[in-house]
Amino acid sequence: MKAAAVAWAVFAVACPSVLRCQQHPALDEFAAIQGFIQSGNLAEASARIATDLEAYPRESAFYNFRGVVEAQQGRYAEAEAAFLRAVELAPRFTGAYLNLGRLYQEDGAKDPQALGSQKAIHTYEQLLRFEPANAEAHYQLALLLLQRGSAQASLKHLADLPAGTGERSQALALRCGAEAALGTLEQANTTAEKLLISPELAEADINTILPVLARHQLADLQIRLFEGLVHRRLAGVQALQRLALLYENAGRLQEARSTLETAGSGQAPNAPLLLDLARVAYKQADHEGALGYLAHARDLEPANPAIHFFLGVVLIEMDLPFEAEKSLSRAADLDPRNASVVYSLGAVNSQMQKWDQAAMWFERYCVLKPADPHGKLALGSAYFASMADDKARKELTSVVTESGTAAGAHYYLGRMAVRANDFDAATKELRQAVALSPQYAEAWAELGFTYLQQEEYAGASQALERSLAIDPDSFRANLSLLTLYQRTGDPHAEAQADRVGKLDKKRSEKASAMLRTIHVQPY
Amino acid sequence: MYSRTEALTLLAAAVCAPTVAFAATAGGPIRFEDIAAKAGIHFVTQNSPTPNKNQIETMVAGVALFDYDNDGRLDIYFVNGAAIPSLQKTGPQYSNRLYHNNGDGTFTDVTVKAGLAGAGYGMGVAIGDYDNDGWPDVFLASVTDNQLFHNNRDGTFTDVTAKAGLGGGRRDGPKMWSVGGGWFDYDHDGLLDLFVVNYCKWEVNQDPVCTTGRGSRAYCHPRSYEPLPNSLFHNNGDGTFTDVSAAMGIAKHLGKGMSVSFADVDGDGWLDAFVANDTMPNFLFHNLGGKGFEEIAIRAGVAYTTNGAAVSGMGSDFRDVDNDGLPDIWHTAVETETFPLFINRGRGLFLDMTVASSLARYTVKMSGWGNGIADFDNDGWKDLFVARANVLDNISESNPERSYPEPNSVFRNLGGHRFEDVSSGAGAEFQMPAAHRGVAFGDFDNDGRIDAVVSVLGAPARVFRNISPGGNHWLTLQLEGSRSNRMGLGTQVRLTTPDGRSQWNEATTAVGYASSSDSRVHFGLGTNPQVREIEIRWPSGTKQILTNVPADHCMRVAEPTRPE
Repeated sequence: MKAAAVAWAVFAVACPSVLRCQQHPALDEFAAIQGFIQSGNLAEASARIATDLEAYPRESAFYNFRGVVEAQQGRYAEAEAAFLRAVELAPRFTGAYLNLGRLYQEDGAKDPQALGSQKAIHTYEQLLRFEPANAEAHYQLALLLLQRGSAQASLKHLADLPAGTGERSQALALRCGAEAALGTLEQANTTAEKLLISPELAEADINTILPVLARHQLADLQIRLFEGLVHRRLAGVQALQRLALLYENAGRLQEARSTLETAGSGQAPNAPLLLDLARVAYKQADHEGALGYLAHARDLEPANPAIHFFLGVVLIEMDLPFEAEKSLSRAADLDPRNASVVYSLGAVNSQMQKWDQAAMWFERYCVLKPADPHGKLALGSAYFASMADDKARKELTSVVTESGTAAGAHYYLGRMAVRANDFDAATKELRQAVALSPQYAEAWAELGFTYLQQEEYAGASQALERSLAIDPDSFRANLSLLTLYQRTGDPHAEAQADRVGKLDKKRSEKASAMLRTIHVQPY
Repeated sequence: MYSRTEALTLLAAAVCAPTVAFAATAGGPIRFEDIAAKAGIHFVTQNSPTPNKNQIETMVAGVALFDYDNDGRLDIYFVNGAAIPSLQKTGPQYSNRLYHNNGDGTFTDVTVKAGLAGAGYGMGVAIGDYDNDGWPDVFLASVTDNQLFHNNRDGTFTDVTAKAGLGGGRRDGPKMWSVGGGWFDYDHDGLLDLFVVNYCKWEVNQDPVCTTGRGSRAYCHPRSYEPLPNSLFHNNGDGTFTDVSAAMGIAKHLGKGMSVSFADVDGDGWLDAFVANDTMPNFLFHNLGGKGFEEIAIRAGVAYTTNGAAVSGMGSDFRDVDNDGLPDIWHTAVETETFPLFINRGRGLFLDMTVASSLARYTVKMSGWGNGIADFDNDGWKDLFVARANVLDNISESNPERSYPEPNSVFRNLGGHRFEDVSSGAGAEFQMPAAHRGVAFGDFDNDGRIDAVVSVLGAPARVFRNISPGGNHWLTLQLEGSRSNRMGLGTQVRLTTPDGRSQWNEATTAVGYASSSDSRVHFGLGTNPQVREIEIRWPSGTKQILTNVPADHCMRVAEPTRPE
């Protein structure tokens, strides 16, 4: 009903009425022009129309033909003018109305609320005034109204469809969408059942109502419909990818991945699909799997910075900073102004303790995103680690009043003071850090260490207890606690020494793991 | 004038007459010139680098400054590597070398005559008169068997390893890889005992494959190897030693020891031992009255840096840098870690002052090996010296900002826990980068300024004569124990100048990485032409006071036979 509207109108409604066509002296011309249009010979069709309009200047059929030719050539205004002239000359010219309505629909396809859609609705309503049973008009109105959010009105037009037409798959899809939009989900599901067993079911039917279902967050119904297509073996690659995305968003990651792999088997390998697979694998925490997909994608599109960036992110997750740095560097080469890439390079260099490099990348990030306080915090921490205390202080104090970074800034300022053995200042900064962020385990641990250095053992004990309650495996806190036990002769010292030994071994193993390289096999 | 007591104990003052006149030079307050070539020293440390990147290749080796022939002049001894995979000294290029100080600015290779070529793949050297005959003996720490050479007093040495039982401890079969050692009398029986520092479990050509991150094979991170315990050998007084590592509480602590240094942390009269571990927490073995040791590094605050990091500890020195009478600890590490300075606060507690002292910002980009604390400009404040180079000979591949050879560095003590990097004014030769490793300190020209000899991998050793200007006064004490060990190692000395200021130092040869420094106790006196008082605490417990001692000479001080 939709896609073939123009062609259909050319064929059957060349004339305002069939009887008139059969008696028209230019009947042969109608056939000829139709033939030219159908064969794609639009130039010849246009020439014949021009000639015929000289002979028959008030023949609406020729204006209708002209509208078709202009529409097929993408000349919207000319097509509109032609169709309007046709209906002006023949106010009951059904074909011209349908063509005009279709023209307006195509214009409004990008935005259902656009003027084109309104005009289309108006056109079909005009048609129905003189031809109230026109199925095409009712269908298109049902579609347009549903797209514009008028589900009830949509259902009314579907109800006005002739018997039989209303049970066709296209109409059932609209009904399902309208019922779902109205919240009558039981009815919608029943209609969906009918739709899925309809002999005419096509992927395009589902696609028509997807925007409505998405707007109403009816993911389950969408999934059901696409699963129906898959079951009927009617789902193309696009449908599979849409289904996979729906699964992914619903947290059904394994199904998403399987569906994507099925989609992949039906086409040549392509980077977008591999990226989708990588993303799902990443969400499954299957980092090795994600790496495989990404490596393949990288081979296909070596100049795609997004792939290199994603690779870098996965490698960071796998505690492979050296490998991550290579990928992220490549991403940065390809997309030097991508702030996320630049920030990630700062982070990965921090992880490798290449503080100068980290600072350089964070400096670049701050240039790209001068308003982001997190960049300044990261830069401050890199300066801190590289012993550039003056520079660190400047960055950290600049973000010490920003809500998202204040606690971190006070923490690093505190650590700087600890390092300089200015314990009064350290205590002050760290207390502010934990006041702002009571669950800041590292800050509590550092505060505990600060009290320890000042031999304020009661304060140290309390702060360390707070830290360990949040992060029982904090090496800093555990080591400080051991020191406290040893200095105070606490009987727990031996057990705590054993614990610290195990934690130290664990962090050493983790550090060793970071040094390993990995060979990535393309998927 | 000296008191009668001092006159009895004071022997020939001209023990260490200056041998070479020097000229004042322009530049920084601490300056050195490399005299290796003109002194006739052409020693090259042969480490036999291989594509397999055997870990031992990057770790060689130590150097010693000691007066082997008791002529009053310090001689130089270099330890050397060997061929790989045999780990044997298959040719003269691998020989350890002893250079006799001729007293005229030149040195002569007397290795063959002395019998000190050594065997196997050498690492470190520790000088100590273990039999108290007045002649210093030589202990060699090695990848292969350790060795003890007895000084025969005639310019020759005899390998007495087997009799002594000092071939090296074993663990799970193989002999442990020893890096260095230190002599000290832990039980106050008047005999020097030996602490041997062991590194990690290792076998030739069995190293894991580690890369630079750009594909080239590199020396592995220490985490790739298993730790080892250190060894403590008790001197039985009859030429034999007993391994008391387990009995004394040393063996139960596993680490990757790179150096040992000694001092009395808490002033209880018993020497304690600090061991710098490579990427593992350091050890501080507190001496329990000679009956055992307890490891207290965490409690004391010297196991980790203030950041909670176990850094790549290399060389260490253990002496008072802030003139408060409490020995402090300074050890080296690698780039990004800084070289930690732990200041002794008393009561067995230390404070990490690396940042506060400015050392952190100087050393954050440095990698250091051998080091030492000595007053190079004789201003009364001990300075810091480090022999530098990266660990990885292909570091530039993974980090273009770094290079393998590095210049040495010297940090001048400004007093009050602050230091200044004065390397750039230390002379052009001093600033030449190389693959430096061990360093030994001593006044080999007896001009009162502490010199330094540095070993270099694959290149000629550096012999840095101290030519610092300023003309500050100095005093060096050559100790001779009687109830204490003959060398007087472990003796604590407090010196007070007429302006009322005091300094502390001690007699030790265990300084830095794999190396052995002059045992004489040196003080810079600034503008003071004499010393008001010297208080000497011998390991035996004897306390000796000297007063009104003139400056600018080396004086031999003998331990009183009866306590004063």
